[in-house]
Amino acid sequence: MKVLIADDDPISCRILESKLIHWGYEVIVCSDGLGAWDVLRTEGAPQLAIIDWMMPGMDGLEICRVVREQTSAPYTYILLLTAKDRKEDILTGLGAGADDFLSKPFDSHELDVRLRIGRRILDLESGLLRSREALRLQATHDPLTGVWNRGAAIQSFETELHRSHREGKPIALIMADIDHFKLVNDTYGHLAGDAALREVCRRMRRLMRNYDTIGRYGGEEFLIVLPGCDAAEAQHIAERIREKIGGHRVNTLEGKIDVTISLGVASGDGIQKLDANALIRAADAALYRSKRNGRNRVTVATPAEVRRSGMTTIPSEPISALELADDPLRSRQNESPTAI
Amino acid sequence: MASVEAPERAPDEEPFDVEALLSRVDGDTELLRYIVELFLEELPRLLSEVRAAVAHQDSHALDRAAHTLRGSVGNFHAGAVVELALRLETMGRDGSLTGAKETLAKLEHEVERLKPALIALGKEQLIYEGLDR
Repeated sequence: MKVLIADDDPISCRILESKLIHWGYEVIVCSDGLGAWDVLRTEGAPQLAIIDWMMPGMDGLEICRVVREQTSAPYTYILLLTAKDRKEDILTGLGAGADDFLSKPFDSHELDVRLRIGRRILDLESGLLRSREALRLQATHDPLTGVWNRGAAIQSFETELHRSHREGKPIALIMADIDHFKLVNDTYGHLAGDAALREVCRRMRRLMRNYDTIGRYGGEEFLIVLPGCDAAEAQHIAERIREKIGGHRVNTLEGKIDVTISLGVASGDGIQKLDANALIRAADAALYRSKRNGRNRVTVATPAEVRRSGMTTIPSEPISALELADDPLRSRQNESPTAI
Repeated sequence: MASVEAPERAPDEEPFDVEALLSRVDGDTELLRYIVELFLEELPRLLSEVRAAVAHQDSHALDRAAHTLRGSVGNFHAGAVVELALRLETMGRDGSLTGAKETLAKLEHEVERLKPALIALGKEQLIYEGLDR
């Protein structure tokens, strides 16, 4: 673990440094306060700092205060080192933001133990930060495929749509749905179906730019947001996705499986204000036409169709009912398993 | 004891706590030699700042200079010098320099006792080290 030592007394500095290195710390030494502050505000700075109170340039109290003004994680644990050991001095130091106090000349064992306390606090904090990050991932991602989940994908689309309106730049949306996915599950089993979903996502992601987003909208349905793309560019990307997925069989433990995908594209020019639901509905309707016209194809909603779906007042998920009725394979999902 | 004054030390008392010092450097004689050298180099400057503050009756400067000296000498567990430096520091902080000159004289006297003892310790440790080989 990295430790910063800031002390203008070279003797004290040297003794501290020698002990800390002996205990296995990585040590950075500063002989004045400004230097210490420079180190502490850089990225990857030591999180554990032993700081002398009385220093030229910027004293230990000022360092405590400026460090505490920074609210961003991770935390800096500050041990204030000083020959001042009157009660009011200690209170002043702790009030300025020091975590602990060590009087000079320090006792080795005490220093060792106090550093361990600091490490314990920092370990606790990094554990919490890791769990927070893990929870954030869980809350926004689909565990099977690793792409965004439905809620996060829609939110990301809404954010991008606002940006498109603000900047007057186009935006496109693709709805993609694996063809006859129920048949894959029924024929090869759900593990093979899962493998196919993962592989389809992997192939789609490889075609994305890093600011595009892809989310799992439903069982085998995906929503892809392409900021800055107009209808023609989005159609091109959708075609490439279709080729990448239909062109190569998917390897699963149950053998190689043919998988195709149908896609619907809808776009906005960034000038005409569009509601997120309108674009989703238009892309969904285009996807439905791809299904109806034989699957494994791309259909692009015309600007007029996009405008019309903005005026419709039907709920935001018209596809499922329509498509299920049209798709004999998918419609079986509603039946009892014994009927198959 | 109700007396505020620190007790005078016996003249034959060691000017610093050898054992505490050795344990402080974890028996690292090289580190000990290094910090003794560093201290002897720094000492004239630290002392002259204290002297100047007393001469100019500058309490703020005395508080600071005596504090720095105390921190540096404290590394060697030199009890008498630390105590006298603290007395000067307190006078500086309280802005009452009565008796500062006398305290400074005592401090200089103790420093003169401390210096050769530290040098001797450095050499002694060298000899021990030589015998070990």
